[in-house]
Amino acid sequence: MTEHFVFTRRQFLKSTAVAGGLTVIFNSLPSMAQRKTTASADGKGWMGPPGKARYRIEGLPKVTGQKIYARDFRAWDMKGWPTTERHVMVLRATSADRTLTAVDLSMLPPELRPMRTVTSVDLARDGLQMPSSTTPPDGRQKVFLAALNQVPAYLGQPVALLIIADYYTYREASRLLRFNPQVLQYGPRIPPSGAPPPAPYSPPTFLTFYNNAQGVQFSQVKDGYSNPYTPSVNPVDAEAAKTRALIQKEMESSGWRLFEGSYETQVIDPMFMEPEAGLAWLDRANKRMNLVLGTQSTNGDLSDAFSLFKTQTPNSPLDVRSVVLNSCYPGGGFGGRDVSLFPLMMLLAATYADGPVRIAYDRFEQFQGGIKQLGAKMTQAFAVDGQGRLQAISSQLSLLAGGQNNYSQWVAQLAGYCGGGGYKVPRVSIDALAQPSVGVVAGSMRGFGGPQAFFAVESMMDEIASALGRDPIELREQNALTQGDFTVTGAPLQEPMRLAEICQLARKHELWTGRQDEKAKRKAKGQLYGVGFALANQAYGTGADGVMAAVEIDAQGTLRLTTNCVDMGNGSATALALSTARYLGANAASANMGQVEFFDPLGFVNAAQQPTTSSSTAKAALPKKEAAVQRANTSQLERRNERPHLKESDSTQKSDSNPWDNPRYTKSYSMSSSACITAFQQVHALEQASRVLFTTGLFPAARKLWGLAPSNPLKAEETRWEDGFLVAPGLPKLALPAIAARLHADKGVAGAMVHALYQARWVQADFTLEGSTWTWPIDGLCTRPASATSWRWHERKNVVAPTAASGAYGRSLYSPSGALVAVEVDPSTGRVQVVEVHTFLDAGRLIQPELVVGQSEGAVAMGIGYALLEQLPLGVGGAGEGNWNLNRYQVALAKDLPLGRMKLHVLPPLPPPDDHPKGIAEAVLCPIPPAIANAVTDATQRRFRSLPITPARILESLRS
Amino acid sequence: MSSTPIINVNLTVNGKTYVHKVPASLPLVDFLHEEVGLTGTKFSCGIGVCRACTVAACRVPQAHPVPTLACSTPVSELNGQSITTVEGLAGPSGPSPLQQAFLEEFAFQCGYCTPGFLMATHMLMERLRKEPIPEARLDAAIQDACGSHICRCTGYARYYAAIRKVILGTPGLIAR
Repeated sequence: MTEHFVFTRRQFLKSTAVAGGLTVIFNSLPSMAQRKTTASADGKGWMGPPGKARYRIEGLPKVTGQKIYARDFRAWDMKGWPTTERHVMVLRATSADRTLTAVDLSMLPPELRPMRTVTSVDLARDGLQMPSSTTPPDGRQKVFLAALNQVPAYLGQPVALLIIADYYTYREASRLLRFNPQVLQYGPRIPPSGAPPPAPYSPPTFLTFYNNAQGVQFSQVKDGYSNPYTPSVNPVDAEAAKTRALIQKEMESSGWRLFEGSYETQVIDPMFMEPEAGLAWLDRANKRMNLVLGTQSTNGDLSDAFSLFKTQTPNSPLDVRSVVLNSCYPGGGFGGRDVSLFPLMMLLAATYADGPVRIAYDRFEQFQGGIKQLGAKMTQAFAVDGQGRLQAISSQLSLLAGGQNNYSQWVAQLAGYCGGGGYKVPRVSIDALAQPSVGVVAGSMRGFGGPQAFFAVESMMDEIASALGRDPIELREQNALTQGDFTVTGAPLQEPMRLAEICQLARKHELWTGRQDEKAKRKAKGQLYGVGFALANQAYGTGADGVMAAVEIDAQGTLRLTTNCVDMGNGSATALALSTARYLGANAASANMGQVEFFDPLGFVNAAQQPTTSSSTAKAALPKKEAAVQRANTSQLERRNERPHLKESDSTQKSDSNPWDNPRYTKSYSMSSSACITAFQQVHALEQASRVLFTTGLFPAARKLWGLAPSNPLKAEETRWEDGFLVAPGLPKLALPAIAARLHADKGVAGAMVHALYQARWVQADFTLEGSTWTWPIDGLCTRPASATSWRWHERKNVVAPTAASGAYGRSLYSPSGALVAVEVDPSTGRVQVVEVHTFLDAGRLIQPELVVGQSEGAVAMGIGYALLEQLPLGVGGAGEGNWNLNRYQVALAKDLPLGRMKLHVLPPLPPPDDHPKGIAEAVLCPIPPAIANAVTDATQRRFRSLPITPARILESLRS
Repeated sequence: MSSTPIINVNLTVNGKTYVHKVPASLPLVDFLHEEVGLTGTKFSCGIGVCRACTVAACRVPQAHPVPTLACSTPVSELNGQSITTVEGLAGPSGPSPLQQAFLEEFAFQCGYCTPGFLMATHMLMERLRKEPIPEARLDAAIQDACGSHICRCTGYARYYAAIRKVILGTPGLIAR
């Protein structure tokens, strides 16, 4: 049928044994497809000159229809797998206010009945442990599969997995079961109990910040995490409550103008084009779980696999000793494949099947079971002084979460961090809570809380400008954050902030300056016209980002990179392949994406394995209060980023030790892939690996080719690459293949593997190789000599760790952006047409401009959908009921976009060191919806404080 | 294997003929995936809205290819027809000029909707080969061919730019 995908020996190298005895192995199926087709018709391939691509590195498989997505692979494609493949249908609850009384499959004739039906009874009997990201709110049943005789925890909760013999049987069975109200039977509706709503998913976010002429008086960074609603618990809580009371008093009595409003954003679906699909096979003979997945969180999915089987006793039927994850290019992600529930379905199905299983959601199932973007209800009050300066913000952000926590609390947290917009505000009181519901599970999606908060803030900024009679962009410029200011957490902004520059560019743009003339012209034609602006200061990264990369060179000078990064279509693979050029003079010919096991030679351990004795210097460096801050931050990172197969750290011990004293420690080993962490974080790791390879491998080989004596003072940094040749003053230029050949002949360093950790700055350390010591901004290093198969670990010394305070920054990296949007509103239909968009963006140095422009244009499309089109009830009537598809859920089509009138204005990079590339995928989205809303207001003179702004709402408003 | 009628289907896919017994209601996309092993045609909405599954179907050899939604067209309705999928676009020396244009314009991102755009444009180009249009009508023709296709990653602009480029660069498609 199709070609088997044969794994190389290296890819099956067993990883180190870890807690519980589980091992993990990664393969990258698309990498293998990539190898099969390296050139296009002209024979040139994807690669351009060093640092540039002619097209995407994975482009050719995508345009020729090769197997590259998880949905494309079948059991018979997989070498060593049985070729019989079972198909699985997931039955999901369609009610969350009635008791589930029965699962009735009697409508299936005998030949269509499942071979096995997996229910909550199986999970309970076998002691399978579901991961903490599947925690329901208090008071709801704490079972992953909804149990009989209980009320399902949420709409769309899985009830049973039907394992069906083959595809055709599955197909016929699903035709009889789908949309059939007899399958899941319920008792009578249970009236609301009157009990208070469940507590928000933990932890809630409370931000209190007070800054005056004497400096910061209270902040998360200065004082630690606080809860002003429990002032009697901790002194910091009491201080927060006192500070908030002071803020409230000043807002009421200082003569400032108060602006108050409530804003809402809706639940949306990521609606990536490939519904989730994959394969799983529990190889019982070898106690190995095999997965084929397209995922953004390879580490998270492994964590789930580990958690599922960790209590199994040796030789039990469900004893799993290793997990193999075959990682595929996802057909879109936008966050919706980050801690998705889908991999759990695969794991459970394979656990109870007699061989390989395939689950391939259709779009109805994807809507019903896929992760959603949280909606939000946001009430905020802004105080503005007589000069138009923001003096205080008080906000309550209630993020509408679903029936499990997933990432909801962290989405709410980032919404809180964005609650001050891009503005300097000396007094801040923000609550950001993820409120549980009986809706479909919600979590990560593009912007991660930013789009919600920026809609509220940027709508209000326009309202304030209107009330004050000020130009709305000029008002923003006046209040824009600048370098040295503080965020709402109290974190100092260490980099130049170009928000004011963006405002200046937008204010001078002819779309803005000419808007009144254009409005008059279009009015004459019966059209309402308006221009809106919004500013955003979206962060990228998680606040403590662990990344890793390796680069190797063969004797012909061909470079291969390996990374834990996943490319969801955002161009990570291409951008990384270009990023070897800076230090190595050439692009990487191949990119092995989504790898984690490969990096085991770095040998990091988790916090629980730290020495228990503390040093006096560590004690001095980590006061108790700050240690508490660090612990809280770490607990977040464990969920999102921490290495999955290690035991969770024991936060009760060693709070007074400095874990960085252990050279095998890092704070965040691996993180989920989001589109915005490539350009800065992942590229840094790869560039540093390239730098190490050059410094310790290529440069010594070049010196030999040049015949330089050891006493010759030429340094690596005195050389440069020109068109693939290494150039040094007064010396002949050397071709990369010639250097590589010499390097291999001399058995020099042919590979470098690094780990890097960013928390407000890159952790740096000294490394000694071949008698020389270098200081590099990395915290882990291995090298591989030519012809050797194993990596050498190099101990770090003199590590410069993150400051304890930076653990509470929340975020420290930002990509300022702004959007000018022009709309035309048809007063007879209420239809809004976006007619022009200009996005202004500080992206730092661009790696491949076409990729950045593509991200920006895609953000315009998604922003239009968010502002005008997309709507999905979270609860009753929503996707959880199983009958949503693209006939009801409207995303932007080409006709909805101003093709030819979308322009990205990238700010010219600043001089080094502030010229680094920035993550921008979320930044370019965040200003679009509020800019559209502000443009609609400009056109209609009506303010819309909730999304989407539909034609019906506009007509109703125009008639009122 | 099925409680629905089983029929014999004779279908030519990318020049190769397949005769299979399948359920009469089997959609073409399932035939391609399950019976032929070609997975380049993508399933996304399953109800004929997003058009990611678009293929070219010719009722008789040499007939004008018709855009066909593989997710919602039963294979029984295509019996005897000739189908071209994304796997059939490239020539022996590599990708077609259309595929090359999609590559060079960075037209797509995740690429899952790309086969649908490629097939819709391929059929537009086939039509223009027989009935060239003035350049002034090109944008409308592209919109007509591709305007209902959903892409979630891009803003469509780079797709449309690639399509314009390849049509304008292909002799005989534009009436001069």
